[in-house]
Amino acid sequence: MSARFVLVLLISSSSAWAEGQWLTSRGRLLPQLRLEAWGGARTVGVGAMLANEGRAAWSAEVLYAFTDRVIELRGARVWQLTPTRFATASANLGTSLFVVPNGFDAGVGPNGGVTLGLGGQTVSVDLGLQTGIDVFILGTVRLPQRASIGLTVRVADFTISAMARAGADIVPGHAFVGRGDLMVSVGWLH
Amino acid sequence: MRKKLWYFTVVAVCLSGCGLSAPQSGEGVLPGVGQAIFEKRANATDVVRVRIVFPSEADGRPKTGPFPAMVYVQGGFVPPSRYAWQAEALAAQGFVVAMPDHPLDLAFFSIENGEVARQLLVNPPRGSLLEGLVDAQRVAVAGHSLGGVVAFKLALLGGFRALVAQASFSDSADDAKIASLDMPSLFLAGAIDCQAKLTQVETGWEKMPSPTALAVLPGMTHYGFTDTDADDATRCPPQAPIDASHARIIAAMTGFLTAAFDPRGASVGEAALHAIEGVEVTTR
Repeated sequence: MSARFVLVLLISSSSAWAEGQWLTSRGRLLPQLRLEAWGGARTVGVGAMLANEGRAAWSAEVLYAFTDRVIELRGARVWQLTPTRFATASANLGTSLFVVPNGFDAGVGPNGGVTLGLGGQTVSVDLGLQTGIDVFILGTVRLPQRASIGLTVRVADFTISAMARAGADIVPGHAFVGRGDLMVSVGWLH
Repeated sequence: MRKKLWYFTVVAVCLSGCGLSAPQSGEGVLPGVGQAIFEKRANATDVVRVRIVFPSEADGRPKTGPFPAMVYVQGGFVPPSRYAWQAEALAAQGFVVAMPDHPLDLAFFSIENGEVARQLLVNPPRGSLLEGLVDAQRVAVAGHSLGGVVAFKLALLGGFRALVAQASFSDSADDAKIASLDMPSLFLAGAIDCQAKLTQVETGWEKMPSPTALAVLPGMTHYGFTDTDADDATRCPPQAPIDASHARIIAAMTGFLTAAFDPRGASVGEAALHAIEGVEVTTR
């Protein structure tokens, strides 16, 4: 199988990049392999999600934060909690790995989330909550907390999505860091 | 497989390995004043951009330090560039000014970017123009409006020796800690400010421990601290020319900072403040 294209459409974004899974932030799992590319003003990424066991799927994402010059790898397992219908819920559990230059820092940590998808095959709105812990070699520990809202439109084998995500990193012993971003993605279902 | 892994590693290094900006020289912005953009990593993954404005030679090289310094925090949704006039005027008087960027120009969402800027001043990258430029014992923090609220929080973190609040006052959540703030402070208030009203600034000033000064600038409104008060023109028109207000602001800040950093004993520079024409000064 070969991926046919990757198109990243950039639209405005706001502040620093947000951690946590992106592909799994959808309530409804699709049976096909989904390849997706996305971007915002500070990040670009590609990922894939494969539903191989009915209501469960694996996802993998590679993200590059080009203003902060950090690479992030994400992997997750996602479970659709309810039968596929107008309101469909899912939960995910995954891991993120950060590679940070300039000091050779690296971080890793678990994250998870729940998402409620509203809509059908063609148009859906997804509302999600995410949480996690990131632990870095040089000592930073932070707890990213996010709320997200996304809109996905499917046309034939392609999807176009827009997603906004906002929240904060809780950093023990320090002031919180506000986060927010806005992304647009294009996906291909195979 | 090994070849692919090698390619991936090379690409990863190329994408992420670019060093953080730590220039050895700046660009001249005014006679005797230069500026440079630095970057410093914070919160593990973020790159914070900090504009440094400093006393310079004609070619942009910094003059020989160490100089006193100040971290400046912009008001909410106001870009730091609108306060560049303050930084340049202070640099012309022998101060180094660091202006950190904040996401969305909202310092409240990344309060510690100001501390990142202070760390940059006192622990500069080796070989950069900041090396030897700043006296780590003479660093102040200042902010306008919401940036002033953040400046109080930064002062409470420690490391700063003086505080300037422009059209601002502390977060009531910090009230219990403010009483123990052991540094000279200066409150600058516009007499006819419609956003940070004079009564509010006065109430905030009353919470501050000594030594502290409140300087009320005649005919000035909220945005008089920025490069233009056009934002106030319709709903809250200023009554003083902005050039006159700017001159008073810089006179007050240089007088205050010079006294606050005086090695013979820190004070608010009462005499210098009283010497500014038209400014009403209260000290304790």
